[in-house]
Amino acid sequence: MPYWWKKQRNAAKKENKSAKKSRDVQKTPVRGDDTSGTVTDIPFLTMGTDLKTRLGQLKKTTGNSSDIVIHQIMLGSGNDLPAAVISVDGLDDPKMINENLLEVLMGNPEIDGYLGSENILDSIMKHVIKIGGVKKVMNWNDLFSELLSGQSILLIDGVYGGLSISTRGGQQRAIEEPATEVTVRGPRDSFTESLRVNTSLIRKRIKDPNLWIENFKIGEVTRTDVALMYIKGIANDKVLEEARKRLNTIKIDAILGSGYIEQLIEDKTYTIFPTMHHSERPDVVAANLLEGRFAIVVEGSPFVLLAPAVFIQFFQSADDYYTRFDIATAIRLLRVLSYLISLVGPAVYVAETTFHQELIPTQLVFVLAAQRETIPFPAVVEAIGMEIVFEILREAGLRLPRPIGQTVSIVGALVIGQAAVQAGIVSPAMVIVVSITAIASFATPSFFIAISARLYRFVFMFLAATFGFYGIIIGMIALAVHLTSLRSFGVPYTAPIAPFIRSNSGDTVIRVPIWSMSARPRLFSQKNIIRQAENQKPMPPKQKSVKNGEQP
Amino acid sequence: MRRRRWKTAVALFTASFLLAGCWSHKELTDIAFVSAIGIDRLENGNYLLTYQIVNSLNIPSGMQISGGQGPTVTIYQTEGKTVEDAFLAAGREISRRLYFSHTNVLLIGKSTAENGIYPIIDIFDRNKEFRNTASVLIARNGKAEDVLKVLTPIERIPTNRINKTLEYAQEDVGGRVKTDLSDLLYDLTTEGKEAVVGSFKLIGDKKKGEMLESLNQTELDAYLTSGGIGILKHGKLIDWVGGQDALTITWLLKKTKMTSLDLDWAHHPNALGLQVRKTIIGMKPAMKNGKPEMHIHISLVGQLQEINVPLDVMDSKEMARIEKAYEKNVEQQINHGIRHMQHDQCDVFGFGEMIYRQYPKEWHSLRHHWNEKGFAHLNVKVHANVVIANSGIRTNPFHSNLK
Amino acid sequence: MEKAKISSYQLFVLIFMFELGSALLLGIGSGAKQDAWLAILSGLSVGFFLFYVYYKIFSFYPGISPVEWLRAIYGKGIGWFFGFAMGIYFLYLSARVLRDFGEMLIISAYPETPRFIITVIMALCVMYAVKKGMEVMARTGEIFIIFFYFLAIASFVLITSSGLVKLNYLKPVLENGPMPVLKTMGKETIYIPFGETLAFLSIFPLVDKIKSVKVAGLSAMWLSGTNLAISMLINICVLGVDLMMRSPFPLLATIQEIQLAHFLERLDVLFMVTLIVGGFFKVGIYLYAACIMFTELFHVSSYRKTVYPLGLIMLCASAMIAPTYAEHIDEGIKVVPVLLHLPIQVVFPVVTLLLILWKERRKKKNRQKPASA
Repeated sequence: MPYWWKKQRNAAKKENKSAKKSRDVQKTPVRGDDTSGTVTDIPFLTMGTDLKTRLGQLKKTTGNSSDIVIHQIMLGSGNDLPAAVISVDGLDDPKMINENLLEVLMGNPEIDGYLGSENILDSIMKHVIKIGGVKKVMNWNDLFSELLSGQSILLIDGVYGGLSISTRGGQQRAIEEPATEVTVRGPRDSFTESLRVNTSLIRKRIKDPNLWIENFKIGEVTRTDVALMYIKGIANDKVLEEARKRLNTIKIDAILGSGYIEQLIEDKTYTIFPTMHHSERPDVVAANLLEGRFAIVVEGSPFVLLAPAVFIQFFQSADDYYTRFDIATAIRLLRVLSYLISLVGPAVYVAETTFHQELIPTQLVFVLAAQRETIPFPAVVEAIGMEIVFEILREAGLRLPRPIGQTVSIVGALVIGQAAVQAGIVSPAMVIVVSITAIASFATPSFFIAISARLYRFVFMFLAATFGFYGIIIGMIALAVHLTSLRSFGVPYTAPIAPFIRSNSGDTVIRVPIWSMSARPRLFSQKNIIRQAENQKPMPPKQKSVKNGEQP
Repeated sequence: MRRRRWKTAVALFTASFLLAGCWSHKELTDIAFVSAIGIDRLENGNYLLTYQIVNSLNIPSGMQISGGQGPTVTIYQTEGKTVEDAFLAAGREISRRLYFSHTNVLLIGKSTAENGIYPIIDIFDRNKEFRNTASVLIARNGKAEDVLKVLTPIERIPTNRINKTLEYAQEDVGGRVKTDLSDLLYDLTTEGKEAVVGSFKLIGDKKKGEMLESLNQTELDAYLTSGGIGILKHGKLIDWVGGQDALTITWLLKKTKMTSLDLDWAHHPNALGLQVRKTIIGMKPAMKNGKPEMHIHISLVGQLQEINVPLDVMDSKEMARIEKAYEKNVEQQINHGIRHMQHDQCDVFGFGEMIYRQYPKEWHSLRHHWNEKGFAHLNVKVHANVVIANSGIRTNPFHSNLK
Repeated sequence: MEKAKISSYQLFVLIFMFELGSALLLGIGSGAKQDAWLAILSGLSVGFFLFYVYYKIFSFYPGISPVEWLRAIYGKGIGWFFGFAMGIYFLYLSARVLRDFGEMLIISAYPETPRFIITVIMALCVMYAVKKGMEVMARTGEIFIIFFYFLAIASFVLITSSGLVKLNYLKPVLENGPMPVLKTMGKETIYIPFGETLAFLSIFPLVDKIKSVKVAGLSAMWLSGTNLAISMLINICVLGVDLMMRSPFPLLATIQEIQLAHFLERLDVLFMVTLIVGGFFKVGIYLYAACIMFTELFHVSSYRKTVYPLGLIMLCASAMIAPTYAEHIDEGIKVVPVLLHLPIQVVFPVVTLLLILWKERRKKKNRQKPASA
């Protein structure tokens, strides 16, 4: 190859690479870059002082939306200072506006004195308005941001800028029982869609001043409030730095739920396993914060994100910590077993009946053979068909309203299974295998892990159909390799099993008694490791309080 | 771009292999489960193979208690110059592939065994489908095909009956032997030990035994039962052993744990019956002046199950005398059995092997023609120890209190 | 070199799985008949010495890859040549082990499937894992060792409770004196599997603490060696010498004998397939070692680029190295140990170590000279 041609080719390659990079960055045009007819249209600082023009600009920007209420008032008892109180109907608390704001501002001779001062906004803020949470807004961005969050805006004619007063109200869902994570013995409150309510639920449980909250507004159009919570001194600073960096690089139109954030900041997209945990329960979040993780609360979503996450976490439920250690251990082992069943159950059945018939005990193999005599399909087709039917039933059950939904799933499964068997399309053994697999997948606490099993199940079935048990084993090895290569914010996904960390292993598939879990997971927090004093093991009193035969 | 193309190429390449089909794939409906194989040698030197194939549809499963519409097994037969040849012929006849992974019984016809089993064993050892734990049997009264054609009550699949009967008999009764293929091979290839093979025989009308209707009676026209022990030397059947000598063989092969022994007492024949619950056998070779010797020590612990004469069970001296009588009996029995084998010049007990393991250097000079020279003239010392632990839930028999 | 760090426990796990990988499967030491287990144990003791030699060489040049210290000791040209030879050696062995496993599966479970297909699947899985890196492989090892051990204990329990073990079969011990044992040791058991730890020279630099390499390695070898000896012992006690010598895979024959309660029978497929895990690690580590060597030799920017090409070479080589199983085994027993294993695993490292020591002594003398002068 001539030297000059190679040079040209290398140059072209370099160009392609940089072009690719810039292409990647610019993949989707983000709303924020296109500046027509948006908030940034209005120049940043020029807010003017004229009330009428400002109100006109406001109406124009919001397109005269009917839920933006503008009270035009006169401040004080005189008739000389026009002002306007703007709020959004539905987001505000009308009672508070009426009683504590308008009452105070309108026709009140007490405030006259402050109306003439230099810094009228400051004096009103400090002396007049009897509501907490008052801020000055100096530009349109902030103004709209505050207004659309439910605050009221006070604009005074001739005064630059305005005040934003906290009158947030609006309808919210009451604190109810968690829908997805039900426990037998544990608190029953769960998060709602309001950010403040959620953070307050967590604060109630951790009354330490080191519980810090950082606020972000993410989403160019939705401007959603997102809060990053962590316990300073326990959480790992590097991990927090990484989290902040990732949150700040999000440039997207809309954040409508915590799922959006998760998908935008997770470590690796092309994997079925979730690298961030989420929960509906404040006690779970509090426990995770205490272990050194951080939480991301998103306005409008009752699911709080938790990171870094490890694989074992998805097999734990809050209940494990409220019950005794032997029961908790047994149930955890059961969960792992049911996950394995849901993953390879049908595959093992297919492998055994089509490749390794010698494994099946003699009596059973004749029964199975008799059952399969009348079935026209090979075992694989039968298996995949039944699995797909079950998945359809499950999806259907989710969509229907509650009372009908459950009945349909159960009845559908039974009837279809029975009918299919009698029609000779499916063998009874297959129905059993598929139903056990389905039930086993429900036993996994985390919905997303169960979904991962549902998908990989088909891969395993395919491998079993082509290579029998060898295929299944190779599939498991490949799955293990994939799992161990994942990291969640720098933490290996399969810790503490691999790499094996002795001090953390007490809380994985087994659960040692609480009094012996004296160290925090080394994965997340490097400092502040000890969380319990020594000798926490409960002992009976040295002296018996009631001796035999004595009366208490 | 290049990297992606390279990866897709590799992916498609491998996918094509997977799509090409699964080679070792066998659907349950494509295979015929052979539960037993019978081998008979014909006059022209060919082998006749009988396959007992399971009709899975006719095996009741779960809730059905009565049988299906037809017999649970079907017989196919093929002929060939060797066993492999016969298997090949089967492929032309049967609609499915013969599947041997659940073959539990290998039945050899009597005359075939007398001719020698060497030519027919290797394929069962080498083929991965056959189980090494299948039992090898000889058809006691003639052809293997006759035995395999008979249907059995209680057990749906006849091979279950055969195997279970032999297992139970071997351990709890004595005198019957269930030889696995692996045991057989071990015996054939080990110096100083010869092979024993169990047997099964057909009693009754074999034609009627093939029909399902014959099962619908309380007294069967034809049924299978276990037979005595066949002795193989150099792979050829040379003798049958039954009765007491068979019990000796199974004792010394350490296969029998429980059995029943009776004794004449107080001038009554078969007055006492002892049910042996625990058997401990120790066999030790010894060298005396360069000549080998075997020391056998047998301990039996049991309880009296049948007393047909008046007897004072609580008299320990009487019991001691009874024990001594039993011991003498046992020693006589064992000596008789060993002499029978010495007469046959066939060391089935494995004395030679034991000498090899204990005295390898001396074995070197003894191994040639061990059966004829060494074993046939082996000095065996037997010592028995019988302990009567108790006499059941009654002490003295009612005979003692007869008016 | 890869920028990875593995802990001493992970090294332990890797060496353990590597050693057991294919040795468990084949009848190692069967040349000594009923004393095969003794042959394994004596091979283990020589193996300790060999490992110590490898460790010592590593300790003089920690943190750098084998090619670099080969160059440092032997000079650039010859060092490169030795590195190249070792790289080819590792690649060849990975192909051999791959072939072993392919044959085992074909013979015992999938006779109709073409061997190439079976090896393709395994090779793809191995390439995927090697590409991910040694950290990932080490962690996968940590997961699978639990699985492996659980199965080992289960099989041990099943075998003993089936009443299959007859300790008598071990007699007469040392029937023909110790010579057969030593001969087998010299011909087989030193090299396979104990001398094969040579491959770990590429992995030692990744361990976080240097001293821990010695502890982890020796304990892993001890554990795997005794496990192998016990497994061979059980093979003899269940099968007897004759059957063991006649079986290409004695463990398979042993497992086939398990018959428990009339329903746990013919478990051999289950066990054969679990041995795949061991094979995966052996092939994986050999491939990794080869990749590292070649990356250094040819100044490739990242070892990951060499995985696919070398993997494909390994795959094709495994099909080409022998036309039949008999020849493959024949080579493996008669040709390979003498021609390859002995010089590369034993002679070369010992000579290298002696050279290093001699150089060190010379350096010391040079340092002392000016002081005394």
